[in-house]
Amino acid sequence: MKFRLSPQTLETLNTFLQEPKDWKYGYDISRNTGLKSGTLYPILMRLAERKLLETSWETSEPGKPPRHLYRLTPDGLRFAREHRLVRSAGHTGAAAWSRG
Amino acid sequence: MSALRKIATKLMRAVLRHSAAESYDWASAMLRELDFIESDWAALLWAFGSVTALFRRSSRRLCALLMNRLGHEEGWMNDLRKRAVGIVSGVGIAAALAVCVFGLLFLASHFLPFEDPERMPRLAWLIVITLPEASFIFAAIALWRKRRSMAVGVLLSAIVLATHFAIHLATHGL
Repeated sequence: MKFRLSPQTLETLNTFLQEPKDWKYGYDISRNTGLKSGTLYPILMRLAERKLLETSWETSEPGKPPRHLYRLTPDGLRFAREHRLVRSAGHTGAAAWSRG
Repeated sequence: MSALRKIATKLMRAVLRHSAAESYDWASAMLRELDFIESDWAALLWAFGSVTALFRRSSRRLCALLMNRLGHEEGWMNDLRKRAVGIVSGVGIAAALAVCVFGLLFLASHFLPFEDPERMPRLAWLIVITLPEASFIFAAIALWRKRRSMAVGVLLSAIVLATHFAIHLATHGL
């Protein structure tokens, strides 16, 4: 299956790579990447659909609804590392296509 | 809570209420994040962006569903087209067989005593109808297993010829 690696997707993957084992909140990813929710969430959805991203619900505050958390799966980590290397080597332009 | 934040929250809640089962978690996640956005304008923009993302997801799924359905219909149309071509080919084969049989009969008529149709005996008429019909039936049997639509075309031709013969008999007699 083809997976479009837009600069925004690469930016999101790079954010996850900063602390690969930590769970992240949607709004924090949005602030780190500068992506609006309308851009960020479709990327997260696509990553999750392709099993590159795992999601979880955090129930820290009683009486409050849970908060959604995101983290790359082992496959997602491998994928992100491969494509970070590709990008740093200058092989990727504005957008790249890859098999996810 | 400011008016802007109220609008953002109400918008997200409305979307959450109407979201499909597969988008419900995502809509809940987006709604929950609103509580952590400091600026009211940013919260409203977050809500608009979230609605857009959910709408795009739903429309993409709908498109995929429609394309899938159209793909099935296209397959059905291709199947129908193949069958139609097979039946037309069968009719063509029957026509070729009929030409061969009547050609043989025409040649035979030079050597047999029924060259004058007015004086043609009943047996000769039976040969004229029986031979092509028999050849059609043999061809249909031979084609039935591997080229069923062609066999149907040949059988249709046999039926047309038989009907024509029956009408001729009914109107003109032997």
